Order: sequence, then structure tokens, then C-alpha cells
Amino acid sequence: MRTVVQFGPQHPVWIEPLRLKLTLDGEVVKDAELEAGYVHRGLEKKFEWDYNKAAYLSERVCAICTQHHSTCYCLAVEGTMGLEVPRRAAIIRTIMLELERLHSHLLAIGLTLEAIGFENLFMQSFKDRELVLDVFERTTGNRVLHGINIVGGVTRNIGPEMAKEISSFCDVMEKRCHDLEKMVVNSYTIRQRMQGVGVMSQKMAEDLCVVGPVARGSNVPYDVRAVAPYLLYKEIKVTPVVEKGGDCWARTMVRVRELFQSIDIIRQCLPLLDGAPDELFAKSRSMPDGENFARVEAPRGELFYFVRGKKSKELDRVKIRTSTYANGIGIVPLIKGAQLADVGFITITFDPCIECFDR
Amino acid sequence: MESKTVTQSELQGIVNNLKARGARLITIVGADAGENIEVLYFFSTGVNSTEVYRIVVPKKGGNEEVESITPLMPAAYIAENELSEMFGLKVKGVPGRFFLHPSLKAPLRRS
Repeated sequence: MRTVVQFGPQHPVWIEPLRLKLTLDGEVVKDAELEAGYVHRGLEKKFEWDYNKAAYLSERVCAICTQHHSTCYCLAVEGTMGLEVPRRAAIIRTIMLELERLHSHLLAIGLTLEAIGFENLFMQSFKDRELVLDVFERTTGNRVLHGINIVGGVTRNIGPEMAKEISSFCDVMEKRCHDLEKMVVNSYTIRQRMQGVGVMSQKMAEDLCVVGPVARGSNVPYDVRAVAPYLLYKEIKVTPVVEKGGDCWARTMVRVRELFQSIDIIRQCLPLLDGAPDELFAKSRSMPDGENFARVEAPRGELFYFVRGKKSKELDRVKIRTSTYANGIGIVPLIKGAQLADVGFITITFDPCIECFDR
Repeated sequence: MESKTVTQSELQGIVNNLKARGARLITIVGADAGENIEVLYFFSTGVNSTEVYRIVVPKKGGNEEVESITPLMPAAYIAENELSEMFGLKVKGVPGRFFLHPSLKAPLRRS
């Protein structure tokens, strides 16, 4: 007998509202329907606004990858004005982006572990994440919405003392990440629970054009930092972290391994600050004109901004393609055929961010 | 940003060709340009290379039709739905309803 179960819009496994309508045969999901739009705010319309203020607005699209959103928006607008960002600003932006990847991945790993019942490991990874938020507070003055990006550069400097502080933070963080990695990798229970669940084959990942750890977990080496380098990634080479399994374990392991990659990139960026002149932003002499787009590698995958200016302060059109939006199409095929108990778990390994998805 | 303006029938062949070359669809962007609605298709075709194709759809009071590329590239499904509901275009073969309440009609279309 087939039963229809409403999974969401309010479900403890997600913090935000998303609805899945599941058709079950016993415990097995036979069909699924995804409904979004519960937190649609019409932000793309709001972006037809003063281009300087819109950098702050872009941070409000998503509370986890705020720096990625504002950086991507600024890169797109700077392209329409032919503006070159000073080197110091590019270094600071890159450090901030990698710090953000650290805290976002720790959050995703914590929530994944919580979804399979490991509340103590969830608390452990959130405790580690607090350290990153403390660094944000010390460098930008804010823990979540940093507000340091403006079109043309950044508003806050990282001086030699702060650079030293970030460097010692990297040492502490690396040790803590190793501890977390050991606990996850050496746990027989976690491995057994995750391996073979929600398998996305390489072909499926390529066909659906999924991005970020979801694609890299299925052996698709797609990382914008390597494919289309921006800011300091033109100098610092990034090798995409890939796993072959395509299951929940592979997606989580990609995130765990990327923690160390981020720490490594921050360490490579910090000495570059010494030689860079103290110029933080470039002043523009023109208004946004014409079309441009920018891509950055957000923690959840490729983030895309399209901007069309009209030679005035207001923008004509801004389109945001978030990483969760690109990954959303992969959720339904994976939960078809899965057990009901795995549905929440599979979706959480996608690291869903519904406010990004709906905008 | 470089883009190539093509017709809807040409686009089908181009997408087939891109798929054979292993290109990825980034997204589909709609933009109201006064008399027309422009639809831009962004593809990532390799390291440091992207291709952008533009189709121009003249406004016909809400009866505009756009060919779907979802049968060729399944990744286009959500983007085409959004294009349809935000600009009031009819994209053949997709429901055209994803985020918005049915009472809202084409919020990004300028009259």
C-alpha cells in the first residue's frame, strides 16, 4: 500500500523551510516532489538599487557565506566599471573567503553528524567553529555579517599584529581539525551509517551539473578556484579535493579534507600582506555600464552573479545563481529509492541553505 | 562580457553540441529590455572558458514561447521554471511554477 508523507516544511533536520512530498511503499520512497519558495524574498528585484549599498544587501542573501556573496557581487560590478582591486584588498578578501569556508564546513560536518545522532560531535565541531567566528569578530567587528566588502576593495585592514594572531589561530585550528578528522574517520559506526547511502554516480553529477562538495564527492573535479581563478587564486594554486564514492561519506570527507586546504591557503596568504602597499580600495570614476558576470567557489559550490548596469547608480538587473540552487536538482533523484530514515540525512549532506535557494 | 545572439532553433543545436563537448550549464538568466525579453544561457566549457548565448523574445502580451533545453540538459529544469514564473514566458514542457504563490504574476516583467 502506498502512503503519502509530508516531509517538512518544518522538519527538525533542516533549520529552514523546504517541503518534500514523499510517496512511500512501506519504508521505501517511491516518488518525491520538492516544493520551495517558503522564504522567497524577491531580493533580485531589490538589487535594482544603489550599487554601493547592494554589496551589503548581497550579504543578506545567505548568513553562512556572506563574504562569498558580497565578493562575487563586487567582482561582477567591478567588471562593469573596469575597476582593478588593490593587491592588499585582494589578499584580505581571499583570507576572509577561506575563513568562511572553514566555519561553513565545520557547520555542515556538525549538522551531518547530528542528523545521524552524534550530538556530542556536533557540539565539538560547533565549538571549533566558534574560534573562526572569534577571528571574524576581531578582524571585521562582526561575527556573521562582516560588511567589509565595498565595490572597489575592502574597508578594514589586516595589520601585522592581526596577521600574527590569524597565524597562531591556524595552528590551533589545524590541531582541532585533525582531532575532529580522527574521530570521524576512525569511527566504525559513522562509516557504516554513511557509506553506500545516497549514492550519486559521476555521470549523474555531470548530467545534473551539480557543484561544490556534492560534485567533488562524485569524482567531478569542478572547483571555480581551479577552473576560473579569481583574486589571489591566480597565484595560489588550488587542487580540487575529490572523492570517488559519491555517497554521504564521500561528500562529508570532501568537506573534512577541505578544512586543511583552507588553512593552508590562509597560511600562504598571510606573508603576502607584508609586501603589499596599504591601499585598501580603488575609487571608481565611472558608473556600472554593460553586462558582466562573476563566479566564486562558495563553501557549498559555485556561486554566480550576473550584473547589468545602465550608466547610473541604479542597476538594471542582478541575477544570483547560488550553489544550493544548482545542487537542488540532485536531491529528488537521490531520495527516490532510499529508506524514509535516510531522507533527512541525504538532504543534509547536500548542506542545504534554503534562504540561498529561494532568495 | 561576450555573448552571441542566436535564434531559438539554433540554440537547440548549440546545446547538443555543447553537451557532446562536456560543457556544464551554469544558469539561465532572464532580463527585461523594454520591448524584448532577453534570455541568456551561461555555459562553462573548460578552464577559464565560458560561452554565453542570448535569445531575444519580443513581448507579445504574455503569449511568448521559449523552447525548453531541459530534455537536452536536465540541469536547466529549475532555471527554466524560474524564468517562466518571473517573466511570464511560456517555456514549453516545464510547469512554470516553482517559488511563487499562484496569485503572483511575472514580478520581474516591466510593463
